[in-house]
Amino acid sequence: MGWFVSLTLILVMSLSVLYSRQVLTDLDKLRSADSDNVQWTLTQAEVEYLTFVHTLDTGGEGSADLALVREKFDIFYSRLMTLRNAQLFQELVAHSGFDTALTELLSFMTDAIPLIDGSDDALSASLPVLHRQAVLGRDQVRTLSISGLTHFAQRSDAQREEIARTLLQLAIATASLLVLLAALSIHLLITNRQTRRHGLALQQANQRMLTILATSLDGVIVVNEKGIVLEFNRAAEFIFGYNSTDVKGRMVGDLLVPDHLVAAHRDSMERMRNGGERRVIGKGRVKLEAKRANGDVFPIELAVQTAMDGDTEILIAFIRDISQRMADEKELVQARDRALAGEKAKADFLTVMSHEIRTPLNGLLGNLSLLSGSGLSPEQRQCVRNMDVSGRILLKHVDSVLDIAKFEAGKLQIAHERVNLSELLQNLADGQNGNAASRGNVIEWCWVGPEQEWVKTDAQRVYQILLNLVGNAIKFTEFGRVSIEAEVDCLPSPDKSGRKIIEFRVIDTGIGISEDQIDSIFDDFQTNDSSFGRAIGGAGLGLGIARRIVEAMDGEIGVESVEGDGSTFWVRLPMTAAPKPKPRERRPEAKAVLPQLDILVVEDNEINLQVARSMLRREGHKVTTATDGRSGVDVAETKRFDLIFMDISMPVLDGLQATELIRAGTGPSQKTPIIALSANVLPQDKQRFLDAGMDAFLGKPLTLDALRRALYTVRSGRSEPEDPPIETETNAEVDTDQMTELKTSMGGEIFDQLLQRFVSEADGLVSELGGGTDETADIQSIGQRCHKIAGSAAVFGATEFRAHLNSAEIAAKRGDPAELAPLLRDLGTCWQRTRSILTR
Amino acid sequence: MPVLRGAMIALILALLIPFTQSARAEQPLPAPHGPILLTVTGAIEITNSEKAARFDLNLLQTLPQVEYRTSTIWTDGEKVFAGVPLSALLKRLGVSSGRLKARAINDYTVEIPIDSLQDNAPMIAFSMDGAPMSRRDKGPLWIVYPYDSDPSFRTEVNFSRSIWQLDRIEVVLE
Repeated sequence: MGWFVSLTLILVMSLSVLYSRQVLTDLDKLRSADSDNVQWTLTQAEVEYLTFVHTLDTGGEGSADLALVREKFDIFYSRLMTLRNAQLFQELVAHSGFDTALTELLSFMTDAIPLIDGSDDALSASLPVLHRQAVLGRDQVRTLSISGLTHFAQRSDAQREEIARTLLQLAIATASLLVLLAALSIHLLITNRQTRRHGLALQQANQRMLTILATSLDGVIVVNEKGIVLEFNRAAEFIFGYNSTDVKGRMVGDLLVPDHLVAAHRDSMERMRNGGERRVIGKGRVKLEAKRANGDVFPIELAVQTAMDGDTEILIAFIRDISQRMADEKELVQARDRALAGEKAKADFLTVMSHEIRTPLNGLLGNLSLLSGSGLSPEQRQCVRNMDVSGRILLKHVDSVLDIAKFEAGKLQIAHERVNLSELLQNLADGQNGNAASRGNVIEWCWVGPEQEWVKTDAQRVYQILLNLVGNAIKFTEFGRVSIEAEVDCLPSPDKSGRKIIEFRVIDTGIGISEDQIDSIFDDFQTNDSSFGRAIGGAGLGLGIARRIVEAMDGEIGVESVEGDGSTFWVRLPMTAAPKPKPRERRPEAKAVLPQLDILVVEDNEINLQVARSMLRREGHKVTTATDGRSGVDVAETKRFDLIFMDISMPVLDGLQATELIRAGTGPSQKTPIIALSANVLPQDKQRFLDAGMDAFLGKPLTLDALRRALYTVRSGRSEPEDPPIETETNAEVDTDQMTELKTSMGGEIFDQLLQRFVSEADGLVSELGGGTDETADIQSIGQRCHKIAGSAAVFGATEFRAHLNSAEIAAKRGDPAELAPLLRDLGTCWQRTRSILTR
Repeated sequence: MPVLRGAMIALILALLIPFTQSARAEQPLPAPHGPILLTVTGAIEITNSEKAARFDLNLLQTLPQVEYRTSTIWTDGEKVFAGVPLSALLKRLGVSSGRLKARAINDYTVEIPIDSLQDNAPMIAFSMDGAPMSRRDKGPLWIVYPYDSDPSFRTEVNFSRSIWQLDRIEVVLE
């Protein structure tokens, strides 16, 4: 649009220029005339002709008349010459009439010249002739006028038209100029209006900006690159307690920056000016400190940006007083900490309480087991059995509570050890077989699809979960079937940990779960009412605990059930597949065929003694036993033994002393090789043993292998002692390998007997000590008893329990009741765990 | 008495001044000898015959001369005109204001106001291209303006005042 208008305006302008020039030229022309009065000249020619003719007519002889003739002739002649010569009349040449007439007249006049210039007489004589001839010229003269007339009329018209045209041109030029002017005016008007509107808009924007700044609750401070305050809005006034007039023009570093930050502030301004690193500018919100007018230092949240104000840089800072927020945050943090502390206190309370409940319970149960071992009447036996059952249920509840507490406190630890799922499931099925049978149920398990036997997971927890589910299944099924299925999910675990998901399903054909109960079944304290009155009740925590454990193992648990048809409880757990373990290399059998040896074993722990005796007997040796140091020395004096195994810590006379006595004495066994048996063999002790006269030492638990090696060494005369392992590092509470080996070496029946014995002993110990000790207790004897049981524990591979007992023993030896007390407290829990594993 | 004498002389001199001036102006005009080309009558101071000043060519040539080189609308090409400026003539005759009635041989009359005259234009030309003009050739006298030198000379009024075959001038007062 603009292009079109501009183009038009240019055209108009050029038009006006053109026409103006034309007008000026025309006006210039008009200033001077280029022609004399044509009409006058032509009519005057006619008059002068007639006058001439008249004089010819009336001319007489008088010289005066002749002079007149001559005069009139000259006048007419000059007139004709004018017509001929004047530029003006040249145009009429085109008019053939004019030219012809003029030529004829002039030729007549020229012919007459000699006569006119001649003598008077000649002239006067020729007057009539001349007159006659002149009269003939009348028509030519007329023609002259008339032809001139038309032409000059036209010319006059043309001139008028030209003038008119000139005027028109002038008009056009003027009009175009006016148009231009109008256009310019309009343009100016529009521009003016636009400018005004612009100005207004700017003003409004400015006003808005001012309003924003004024109403902003955040302080807005504008500072130039030197640090001089340019702007300071109302909120800033309020925050800092200054008037903006007091602040503007002064350095921000002097007024608002707290003293301890002034140097840093100056540096950072310097850096900014030199184009250096900007640590705060444009880096979003930064927490800093500022100083109020009254000197108070308070925390602020600051956001700074730069902008260009012309060619200088200015800094725009948005400041928020966050002292309230900080205070609130602090309060929140404190509240949170209090809450957490409260939570922890709760958890601790639960733990402690459950321990407190557990230990007397353990005592109860331990003693009950002892009691059942003693002679009882059938009635008594029945009572004891019932008490045992109740006690175990109670214990189970306490365990549940403890588990929950642990889980909620986030302390539920999940172990990762290699386990054979098939074995686990088999054990479970076997264990629950009796329970199932008592309700007429059949229990079975199988793999669905490919097997994945060896995995890394927390076996105990898996067992616990499945036990709970199976227990429930049996509980709610009568004369039905309980199936356990295990299936490997072909898809990998969604958490991309590379683990596989194994789904366990416990399917029963029992009474099922109603729709309205199924959603809340995993909630705590949820029981199916009909369970009341059954022999084994439940507190309803089992599934809740199972759920928690499953969650802790990153798994899922769920149930599908149709009331009356049975239920399917499923658990999906991610587990890492473990390679099948290489079969434990049987350590090379000591090939040495030894003759039958006469061996003396001095050991105060009955079980250990039994174990050693069985082992040695199996090797084909003759074994004599003694249960303390004194009797050991006595027996050694009776005959010469081939080998003596001497336990170190024994009552009455310990192993070291006994050895010294034997060596110092003169008995037949004085030179017999003595091998020390000890649970703890510290390097510093070794030297003591050697000094006492011992030849070698074996650690407990006594393994067949070690025993054989020891025998061989002794027989072959080599006296290098083998370093026994101090502690076996296993994560498991029970070294099942150890147990298996033991079982194999002594035979299943004897093993079971020994195990039972050990379990009862441990129960007894735990019940007595688990309740903590009072100050009057004999710490030393406690230590000794711990030691004794530790030895047995080692035999059965109860490594954790043993470790506990060792620690207790050490503490007792040190005579520190404060140290001992917590150890004894934990003893009970440890034993329970161990016990459950041992007695599976 | 010397003061009085000085005053007297001053007075006489003062009285004489107009006379001296007019004396110069009133230098009498000699009589013409040749054929009379121009007769000036009317309100003139100097005459050389009864109530008229007559000029022949010689007499005219005693007056200041001027030359134009110019073309005219009645002639062909540029011509050199020589003659007496009209204002010079009038000055010789002691005419300072009024109107002139210029007449031609054929009784053509035109009025020329004296205040329209410039010092050197128009002139009464008596020679064209160095030769006197014959009666047949718009002579002997022709009032000519220097048309080419300025467009202001080329007006209808001036053309009408460019009287040829001039023989009489009458000076008329307002």
